[in-house]
Amino acid sequence: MADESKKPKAMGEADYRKGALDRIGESFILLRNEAFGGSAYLAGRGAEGALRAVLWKADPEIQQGKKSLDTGHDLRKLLTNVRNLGLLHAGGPDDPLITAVQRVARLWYNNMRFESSRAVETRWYQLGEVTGKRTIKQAASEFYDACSVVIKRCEALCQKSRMP
Amino acid sequence: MSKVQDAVVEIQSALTKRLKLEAPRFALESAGSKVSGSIISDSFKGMADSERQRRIWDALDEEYGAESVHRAGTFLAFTPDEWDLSEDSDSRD
Repeated sequence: MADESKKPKAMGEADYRKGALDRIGESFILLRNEAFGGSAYLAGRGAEGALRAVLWKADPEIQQGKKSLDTGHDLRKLLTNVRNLGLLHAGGPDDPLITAVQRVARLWYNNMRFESSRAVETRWYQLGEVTGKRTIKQAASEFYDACSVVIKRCEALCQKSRMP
Repeated sequence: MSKVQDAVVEIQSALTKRLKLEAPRFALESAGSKVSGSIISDSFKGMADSERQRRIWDALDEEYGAESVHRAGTFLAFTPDEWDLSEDSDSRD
């Protein structure tokens, strides 16, 4: 019989939060060194982790294990779940977060983790994000900025004293 | 003061001086040997996040050289408006 004490501990708000901070930090190191595929992948993963941290912190049912946090890696769905908890309000200061998640979700995909930087650039070219006049460097930098908006807003939400 | 507090204070002081931060607030913590967390200052106004990070890391590199990556983790750079949004949303419900 498996020893229950040796099972990995389930992740909580602090784990997701700190992981998101690490991923966005690592993303910038790669961006600075012009490793754009890895930078984009890690920044998107950081945004996902940050949204998960907010959900975990705000939803007692997730904390108690009554509800799963496993939404796959669909950032729009994670955003909807955050909104459903009453934490976001359209038409106000949350708009930059909502816009940033939409932008990140359009460009980020889970299989990015397996792909070459060249393949990411080709995909973004097909999406019109990289063009003859707009380089992958500019696109990756702006993608990093959008992920940062998500992570920073989630960090501020996690600091809210009113949250459980 | 503990070693951890020393490290946090040292980074705060280096960033304030090198970035010439206006009325900075810090929410930093130490994880292992590295200091990470949030920096809040009006000095970041009008800058994209990637630009804020470039300035922070340039400052850390100037201060610590190659040691910077061993001392510093991730810093999120906020303007006061961005940071205080959480207070605004408390009163919106």
